[in-house]
Amino acid sequence: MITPDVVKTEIARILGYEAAALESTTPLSDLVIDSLDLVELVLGLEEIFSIRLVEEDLGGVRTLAELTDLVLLRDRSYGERKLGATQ
Amino acid sequence: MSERIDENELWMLSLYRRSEISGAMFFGKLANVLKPGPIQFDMTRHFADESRHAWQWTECIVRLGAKPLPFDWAYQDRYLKAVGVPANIMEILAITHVFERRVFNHYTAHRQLPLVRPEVKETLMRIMDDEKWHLAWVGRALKDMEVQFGSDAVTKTLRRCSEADKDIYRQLVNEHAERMAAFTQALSNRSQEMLQ
Repeated sequence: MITPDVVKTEIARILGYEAAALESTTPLSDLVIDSLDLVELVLGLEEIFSIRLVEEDLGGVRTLAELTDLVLLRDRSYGERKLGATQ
Repeated sequence: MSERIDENELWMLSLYRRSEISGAMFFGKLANVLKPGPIQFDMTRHFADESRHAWQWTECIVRLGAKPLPFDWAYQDRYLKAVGVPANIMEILAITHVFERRVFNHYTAHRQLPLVRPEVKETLMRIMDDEKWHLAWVGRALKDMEVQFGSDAVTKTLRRCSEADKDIYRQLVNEHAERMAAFTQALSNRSQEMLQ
């Protein structure tokens, strides 16, 4: 099941950090050295979670929490579970 | 070994070497996160090719009696700045296709200059054989992705990347116009000297 913690763990793994060391408010620019790292991160998340992002998705993403939210939003099963829980 | 390499020619060959290193790092990172399948397979070979090209330029420069110049930037760094971070594999491959076409055309133009040193010509020829395959596999993968992303989206992305590429190349030529002109002049001088 995809949860915010699972997404955070995968982000940390791809970028080579300890998940526990990452705060949700951490700006992505503090985690990636260059745009090459960011490409690797985006593609890695798409492959792991079988999601597809579009160009507009990345425009407003600044922090770890925002990227996590985006992955969860694009993961349909998570969206359906969340919807089910609120009904 | 040919006569001593001109400073501008060394600059150009060192830039090629740096760009191949950047390409290898880019494809290596992507090959590392892709799921097993045809794209992972071809991208891993692409990564290996770029690494070998970096080695071939290094070897070529050394054979010419010189040492590679250090660079803190590569041509393709400017792509991501110009077109933004690609959001998916289709956009990554579109950027790659446009960049590979640029490399192929630039290497072709270099090879056709008068009196290119045999060591350089040989390196260009060896690398260009691989570049043909790069263009073919990326083009084929993009065609296959039309089913998933839609042919309009693929065409639009390729067009956007091509426009950015034209600007980037124009910018590079303008920034280094003096050096590039001197490089072409050095080749021309060499041909004049050989006629005397």
